[in-house]
Amino acid sequence: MDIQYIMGVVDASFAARQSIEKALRDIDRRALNAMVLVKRHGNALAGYGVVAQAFRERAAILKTSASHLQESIAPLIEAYMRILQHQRFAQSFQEMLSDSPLHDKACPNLISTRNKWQTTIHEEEAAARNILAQLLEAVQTLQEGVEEQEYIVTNGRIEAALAESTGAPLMRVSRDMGEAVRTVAQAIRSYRHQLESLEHESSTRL
Amino acid sequence: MDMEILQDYLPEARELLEKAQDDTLRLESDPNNDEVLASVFRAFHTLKGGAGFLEAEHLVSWTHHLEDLLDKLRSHTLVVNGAMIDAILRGLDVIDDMLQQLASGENPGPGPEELGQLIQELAAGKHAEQVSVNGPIESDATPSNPLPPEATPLVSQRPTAAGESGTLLVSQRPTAAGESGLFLEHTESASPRETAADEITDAEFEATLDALYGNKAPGMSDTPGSGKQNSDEISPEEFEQVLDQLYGKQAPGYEQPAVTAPVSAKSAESEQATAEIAPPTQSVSTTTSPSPEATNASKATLPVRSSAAAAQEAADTTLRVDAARLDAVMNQVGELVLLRNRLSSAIGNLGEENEDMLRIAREVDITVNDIQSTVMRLRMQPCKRLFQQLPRVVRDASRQLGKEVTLEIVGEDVEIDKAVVDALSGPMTHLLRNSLDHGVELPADRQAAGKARSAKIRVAAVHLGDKVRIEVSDDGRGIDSQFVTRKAVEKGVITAEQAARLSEQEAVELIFRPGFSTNDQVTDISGRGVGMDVVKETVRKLRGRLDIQTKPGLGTSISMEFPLTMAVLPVLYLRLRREIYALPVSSIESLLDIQESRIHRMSGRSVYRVDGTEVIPMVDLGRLLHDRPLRLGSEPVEGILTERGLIMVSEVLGNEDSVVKPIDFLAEQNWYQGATISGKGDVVLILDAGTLANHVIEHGDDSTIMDIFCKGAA
Repeated sequence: MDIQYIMGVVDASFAARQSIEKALRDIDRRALNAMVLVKRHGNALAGYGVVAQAFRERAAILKTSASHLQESIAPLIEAYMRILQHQRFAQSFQEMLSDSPLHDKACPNLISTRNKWQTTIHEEEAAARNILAQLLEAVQTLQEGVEEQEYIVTNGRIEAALAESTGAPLMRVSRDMGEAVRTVAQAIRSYRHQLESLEHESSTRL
Repeated sequence: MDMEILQDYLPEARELLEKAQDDTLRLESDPNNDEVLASVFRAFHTLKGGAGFLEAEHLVSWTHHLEDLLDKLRSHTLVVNGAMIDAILRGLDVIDDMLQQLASGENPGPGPEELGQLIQELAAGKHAEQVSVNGPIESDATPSNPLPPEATPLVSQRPTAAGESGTLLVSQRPTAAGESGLFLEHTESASPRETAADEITDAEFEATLDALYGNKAPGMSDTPGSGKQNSDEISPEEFEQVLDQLYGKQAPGYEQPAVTAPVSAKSAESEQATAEIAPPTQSVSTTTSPSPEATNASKATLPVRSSAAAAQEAADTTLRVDAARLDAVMNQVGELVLLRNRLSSAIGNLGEENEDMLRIAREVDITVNDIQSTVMRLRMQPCKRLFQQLPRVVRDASRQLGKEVTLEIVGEDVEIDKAVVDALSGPMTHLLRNSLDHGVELPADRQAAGKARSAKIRVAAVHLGDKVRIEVSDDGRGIDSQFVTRKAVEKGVITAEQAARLSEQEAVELIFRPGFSTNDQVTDISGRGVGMDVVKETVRKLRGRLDIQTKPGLGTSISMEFPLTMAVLPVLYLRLRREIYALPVSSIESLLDIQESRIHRMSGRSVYRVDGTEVIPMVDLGRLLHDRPLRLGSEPVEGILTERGLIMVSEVLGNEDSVVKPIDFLAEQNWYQGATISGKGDVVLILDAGTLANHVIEHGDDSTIMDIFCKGAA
């Protein structure tokens, strides 16, 4: 793992955050749109109103889950940056020892310091893996939320079909909702893929 | 004056008056309809009775004269003619004035002497003119037929056994034994003049009975005194019902009237003939759908007892409640709605852990919704109340203007909030008069344009989800937008520069501006430049939406949409920087993510391209309310698409059912419909989307809140 790789993860996190936030805002707007439509049509669309309400509530939960995701990103990046820094320290001690043929007799403290850094790095790597695991867990929760949202969209489509006689453009609203959910799902999937490659990198390199 | 009796009397009297007016107009096209004649008679009779209790002598006397006239008409001693219809309608107006005086605690003064005299003379047969009894009244000048000699009324005025003059009334009712019986009633109310006019001999009376029943008259076999003595009084209503049942349309001397049809259905020849001899008012006919007349006619054959029983049942299950009490209940439900919102918000903040509380909140929500809709229904009234004055308006105005009109009324059964019914009475009258004056052409002009001589005005009420649309449309000449614009500039309503920027629709909508009129001369009907702006203002106050569609040469349609209820207003909360506002959901089309590439400048205004076809003005709420425009890209900006423009806000928060509290301490012209209390307990101002959009349309988007302050802050 190098700094470039970490920077790649930082960029991916930022892009994912932007994309998820935008898509969630879009979901929220679609849900509100549906609720406004329902309100404008009175009791005739009460069934769809329940769906729209559930869609909006789920969108709020997704938003909360996404914010938890963001909370875990910074410590992970910080942990990896520290590991990189400490790896460099350990590396410099290692180079010093390699430069001196009598290092094990003349500089016993160097060996001790190097070992100490390596222990620290191992501990930090374990901590980073923990954070990454938590992060992946948060992503998993987010994905489950998105799946529930997709289920609500399906219900919305059924309700829209049932209420077709009212003339309200519910099918279009449901399609828009579905698209917004798909955008979030895609952004999360791509982010998860990024994190999993980081996990893989961590387990092979460290 | 007994105030308790007055409180009961007034609403009932107004209902009777409205019904009487409606029936009188029906008489114009169907002068021989016994049912209608009896109904108008009963109305005057009941009005007189109530007025007697209140010691309103002049009202008693006035209704007595009208009752006199109607008595002659229903007994076919006299035949309805145009002069009588006019006199009855004018008489109804006088009664209306008298009722208003009663309502304000005064004892009504005497009615116009001249009209009173005329009614008495008409009742005495002095102005009786021959009219055709076979169909609608053709003309005031048409001669009338005297009552055919074979017409034998079942009201006999003759000396009684005691030697007193009186009236014998006959009725058919079940006897105590449950069989059908015929009963006689003696009253002493007949005046000497009535006696002279209505008198029949005993032999005639007996002959009529024999002709009807022969020797099988109900009650003939009854032994004298078997329960009859205790039931020898009948009400006028029962009497009328018995007459109807006995005779139907085969009463002696009764001739089947021609089928009533709108003038538009007449042949061209007869139209031409009518036009030559008749004043235009006779061409006004009213059709309703579903037609109450048709319903009544179909029910006319039902047994008398069943309809009386139904009326009794209805009376037992209905309750007259003071509107103020309903308003109080509605206000309390409003407070309950606000409390429900706060409860939901507070429980929502507890999070998902507290599932019991969430469930309770949902159940409270459902219960409050149910209470709200039940109470809302209490205030609903059928549009019939709003529409029933319109035939008279059309009749009078068309006569004044020399135009021929058929009025079609649709959706009288559609129900709407009482506040709307009460407030729309004036605007509806104005819309119709305006349509008659400006929209409908003279018969000759219509013919020249290849149209039917008789114009058609349609008034319709339709349910649209949680709204009701009331539409007034005509097939007249339509509105010439260029002419309207020119007049608006001439009258100083807008400047020439503003006129140049107007779209065609905006130009047509100039008719709703205060001070606008296309008439240079003020007439009874129009020309003062007030009226259409009042219509618009009333619609705005009722949180409605006004729309006008016109096609030159083909006609104009003005539609008004109102929420079903005025008590609760669903709103969308929005954030403008740090402040929260609300916008009525009814004014919102959808919520948009604003894209910079869709923003354009056009005629000094920022406009937004919604899709390939729709371009609408942008309303920057930051610029209007904060005097600082929202900066797209630098701060969060979302769009709310309304019917008149795209409102730019910082964030859309969510919707809620709210209760509007008036903010009458602000200047008349402001951006707000009122205020409400949000679920979080904050006071939130409710924006008026129409006013915001109109301001931008009129002044461009450079105007700021300072403009409105200059217009007059509180």
